[in-house]
Amino acid sequence: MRVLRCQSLLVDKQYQATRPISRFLIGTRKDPTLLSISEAVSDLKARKTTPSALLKSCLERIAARNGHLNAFTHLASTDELIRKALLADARWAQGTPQGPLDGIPIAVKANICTKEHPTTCASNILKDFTSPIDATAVRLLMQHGVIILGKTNMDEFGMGSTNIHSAHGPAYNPLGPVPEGHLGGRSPGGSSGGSASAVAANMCFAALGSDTGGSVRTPAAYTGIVGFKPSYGRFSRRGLVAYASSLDTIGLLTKKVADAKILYDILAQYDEKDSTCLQINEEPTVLHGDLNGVRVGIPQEYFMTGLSSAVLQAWNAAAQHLASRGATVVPVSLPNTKHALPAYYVIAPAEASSNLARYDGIRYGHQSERCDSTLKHELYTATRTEGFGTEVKRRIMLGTFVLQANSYTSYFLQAQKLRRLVQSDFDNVFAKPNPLRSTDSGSHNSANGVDILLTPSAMGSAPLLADIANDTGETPVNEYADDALTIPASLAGLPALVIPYGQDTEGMPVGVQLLGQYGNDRAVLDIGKMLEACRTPN
Amino acid sequence: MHSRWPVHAGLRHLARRHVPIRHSHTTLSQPPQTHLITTPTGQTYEPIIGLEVHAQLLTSTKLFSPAPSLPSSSSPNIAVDPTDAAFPGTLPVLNAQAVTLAVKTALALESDIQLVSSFDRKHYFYPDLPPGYQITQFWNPIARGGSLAVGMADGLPYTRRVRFMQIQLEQDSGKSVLGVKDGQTLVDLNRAGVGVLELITEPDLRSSLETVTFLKKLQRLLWYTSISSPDMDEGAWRCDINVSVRPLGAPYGTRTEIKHLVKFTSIKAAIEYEIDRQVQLLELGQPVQQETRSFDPRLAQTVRLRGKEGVQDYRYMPEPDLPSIHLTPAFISNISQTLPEPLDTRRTRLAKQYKLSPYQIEILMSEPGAVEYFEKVAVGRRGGKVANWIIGDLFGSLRSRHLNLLSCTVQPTRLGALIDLVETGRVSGLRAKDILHTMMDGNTQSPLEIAQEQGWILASDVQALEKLCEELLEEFPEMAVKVRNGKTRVIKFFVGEVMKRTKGKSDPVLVAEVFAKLFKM
Repeated sequence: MRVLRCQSLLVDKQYQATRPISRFLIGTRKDPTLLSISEAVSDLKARKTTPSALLKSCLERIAARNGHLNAFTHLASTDELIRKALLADARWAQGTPQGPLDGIPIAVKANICTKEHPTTCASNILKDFTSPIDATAVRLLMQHGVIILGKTNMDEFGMGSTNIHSAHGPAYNPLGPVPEGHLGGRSPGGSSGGSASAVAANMCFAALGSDTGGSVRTPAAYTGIVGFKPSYGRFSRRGLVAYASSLDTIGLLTKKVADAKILYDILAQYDEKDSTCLQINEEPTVLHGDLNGVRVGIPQEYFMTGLSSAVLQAWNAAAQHLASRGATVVPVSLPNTKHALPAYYVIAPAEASSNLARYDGIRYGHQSERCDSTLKHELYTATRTEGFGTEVKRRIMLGTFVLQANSYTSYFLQAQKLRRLVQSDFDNVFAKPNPLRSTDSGSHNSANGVDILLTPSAMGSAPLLADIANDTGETPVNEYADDALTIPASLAGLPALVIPYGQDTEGMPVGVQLLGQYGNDRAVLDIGKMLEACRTPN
Repeated sequence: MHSRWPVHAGLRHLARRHVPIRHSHTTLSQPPQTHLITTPTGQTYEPIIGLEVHAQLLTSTKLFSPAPSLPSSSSPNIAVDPTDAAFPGTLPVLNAQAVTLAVKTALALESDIQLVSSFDRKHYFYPDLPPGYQITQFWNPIARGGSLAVGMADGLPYTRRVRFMQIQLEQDSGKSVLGVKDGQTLVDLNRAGVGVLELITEPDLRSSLETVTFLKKLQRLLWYTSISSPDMDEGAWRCDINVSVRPLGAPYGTRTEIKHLVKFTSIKAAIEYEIDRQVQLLELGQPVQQETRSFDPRLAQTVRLRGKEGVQDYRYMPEPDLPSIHLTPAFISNISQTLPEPLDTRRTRLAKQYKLSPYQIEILMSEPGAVEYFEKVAVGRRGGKVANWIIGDLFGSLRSRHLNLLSCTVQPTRLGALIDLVETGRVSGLRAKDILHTMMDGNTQSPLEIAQEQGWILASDVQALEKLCEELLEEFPEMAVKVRNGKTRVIKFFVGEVMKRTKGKSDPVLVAEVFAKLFKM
């Protein structure tokens, strides 16, 4: 079943006026979709609810809100979903669930391959494409009983941070005001905007997203949910449609840090089908109910011009809360932070221009009918011109330029050097050595080093789509600049967690970001859980 | 060596002003000079040739996907993994067997194996290249340097050592098939992603003879070490040839690249044509254009494909989906122990150990698996005899069935047993050929069983034979007298009688020997 795109917001308003869902919900103890995964799982264990009930309320939420939010671009067939939920019901009833997540409805970003649904990457070039493979992450979730609800909206091929660059039309932020027109609403962030919107609107219990330069973290911050990008290589990339292979990760969008931890434990598996998959085991973090002995670094370079006061406030409050739980908060310097953005916008487009060369219309996806298909170059040009959106074309052109023989050294190679500088910045401040680099541990100062970094996650709260449209007319620079806070961790491959932490004067959420040393994903999640627990209720 | 001076279709204006060019005739005492070309104007030119050889690796699966590596004769698109068709979300996984074979090749060519090597992407759009890039080793190949010498034993009247620049692992493209459907190009992806070893030489070759001799030896070495398939299938083996000429002693001239040559005859013709073409251009004071050419076997000419301005920018980029290959010295030394003896060593050993003639050695070494087969049969037997059996009868019957030795169902032990039957006089040479054919046709019995079943066992009891012979002398005394009086030809009468009475089951040679003994000849 294809979800109708938001044709007119009036439709949604009328729908809201009648609101069959609210009538249905009257009398229930609590709308089950408001539960986190861990809460839902404990209800399932206590037989207070069933997978069918969870699914039903998700579908009702979707029916009520997706037409407006455009979060899902494809929904699995209702019959099929119900069939799966009933099977899960039976397993729970017999006390033999397939795993702790048996029957939990989860959404998957449109650039993660599933055999049962289209994988469009929000691009016309893959408009009707269904993958012959299931992504390893999807396979692992399904093995644990997770029900895949459908595919979520995104910026085309992951290129964007506002979810306006989508062949399915923009996704909307469920926390924004009900828009009067398409540009009246707020962005859910991008590129995993549909996943974030779906989770924030309680249409699913969690969603898989992907994060190349902040594509899970920015949407999490804008929609007031938890976003987690693991260490590069921690989750298999098999089945994640490549944007920039050396930066791409599958990421998580959840309501609570505990939920991210549950999904992390399922997905952090070595996969022999991804040669860049991480084989390093983690040492468990030892936290005894408080953060005594934990050193938290505040990178001074993240005090960037343009940070909103709400963001500064949240950052400050989070630091104080961590200190109040026993952590030592110290200022640190990451002097090469300013190089991250330019390095990223050379490396990512370069890899994108290479990764997207395969979309030629010959084996799958869109093929132009406008030309004599026997002339291959004409066919390629027409197919790609029709198939790719503006932002994707822009990055392909940029990437093609920087990889040319006469610009390689001055652009691509320089960017790689800058990337290395950004990486060593982090290695210089963390107490733990980076397991990927040969450790002359003599030079490593574990006494002065920090265990975790606390930074803002976005410059401000979710922007209005109207403002983005004004900004990006000719130059995409402002949209790119918003990634400055998330890109350094991507270049260094570090685990990064965004937690909602307060809101601005208009009631829009803002978040903070925790960064750990490479491979220290669990520590980031554990410390994040404590930070989440002591945030000011809002 | 260039006896002919072709008139090129594209150069007719030159042909009109054609000046005959005399190639220098040098003697073997000045080996390095044989390749030089002296024109009537007195200018002496030296051809310079370098090669890029692509040899498909004999691995069971492709270089980066689990799809099988199939021979090119397979039906189209039956060995295609989503990775080979570049489906979104698929990732390459390196085939360890391919790395082993590359290291083995590097060892055989005394090339310097790099402990750390890595893969790069080479970009170009083509329908038979699904991802839009080829994964190759541009910056850090698996081996650098090394060399292979060709000399007298290889058919060159002197020795030429050819150095390698680098040896690299890369994936093959698919195949575009034209002309099956009108106006359409069909794509077969069976070959897409198959592992290829590219060997790039220094410009050390000087003539077509040197090049073909070198390539034959290299090819033999690759199948001999089980790195590459011995069949000269389209695609399993091909090379690009760089040719330039320069006035003797001058710096290298502008080179042209002749793409995609497979057959030795084409390689020879293409090089000779190209050398002649370039010399003629220079003689007329015209520059050689740096360009890529192809060889048209029908015209026996090289044809321009694209010029320098058409040179592609491949936009090389490090392959982000594959980590570097890290090799340990222990891994390399393990592989070096699996390497067979060098070809030149083997040649010397065969001559010494089995007293084989250079001809026998050459034939055996030209057929994949033949030396191994020969050595198994030769255990406890006379080498020369065994070699003749293999080269003559065995190869003959294989050829008549369009088979090669590697697919031969007659195992060395059975051929050995057959040779023994003949050598001990139990089966005649003629019948032995019949037995061989019977075995080749699928009879799995031992040669002895076949001979017995067919009644081809000779009366091999020498005593019985001697007795019969003595009886015949008594039976035909006047004939015996004739022999004793010097009419030795009459022995044939006696042999014939024996054959008659033993119903042809006696070995006529043996019978003749017995009579010779009786007549004390």
